[in-house]
Amino acid sequence: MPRVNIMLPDDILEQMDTLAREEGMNRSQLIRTAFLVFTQVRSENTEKIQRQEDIQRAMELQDQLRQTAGPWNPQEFIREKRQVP
Amino acid sequence: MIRYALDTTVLLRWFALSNESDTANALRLRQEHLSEKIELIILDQSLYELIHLLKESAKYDPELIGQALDSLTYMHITLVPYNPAIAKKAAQIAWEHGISVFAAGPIALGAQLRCQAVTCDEVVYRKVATLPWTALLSRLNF
Repeated sequence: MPRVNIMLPDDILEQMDTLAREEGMNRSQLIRTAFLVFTQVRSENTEKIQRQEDIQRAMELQDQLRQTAGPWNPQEFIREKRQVP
Repeated sequence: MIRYALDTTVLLRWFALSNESDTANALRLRQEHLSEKIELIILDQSLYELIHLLKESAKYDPELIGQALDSLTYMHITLVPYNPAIAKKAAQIAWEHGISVFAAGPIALGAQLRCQAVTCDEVVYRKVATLPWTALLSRLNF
């Protein structure tokens, strides 16, 4: 495993050490865990944004299609096609 | 998050220009789904039924039907593939309540997933209203 040097402000280093103690980890373990959590959250946020953009796009497309197709009564139509007695 | 099993009658409202109050509610369902307050679930059968209805309406040509299907792909709706248990339950519900198997499918889906099965069809709803997980879109509190 490569060894790296990083620069941190004193207050962050102090918070890190406190957190590492509470979690029973050393600094390296804490940084690795924090990185994995960060990538997970980032990935979830990206997926969420993509989902919202997709649904917005879907709704706009459906709204356009409704206007293009013009008025009709879907309920009578589907009942007839399903041949409900 | 509340889950709803949707009948094709609900999906159809997204593609039909109509002044019915059901259409407004169906459009609101999309908005709630966007906000992740609810999860929408359909049977794959509903897509084929929807295609059939759009085609037979004479309002949608193959190009428009393709766009309608694209829009459903973008909706991130949970799509449930053929499942023998759901199909058997649908047959049983259709037989016992005198409704179409196409209408019974989403009701069976609701039973299987233990969520509300939502329809816009009042005639179907009256026939299955004794099944406590069924709901009419116009009376749905969401």
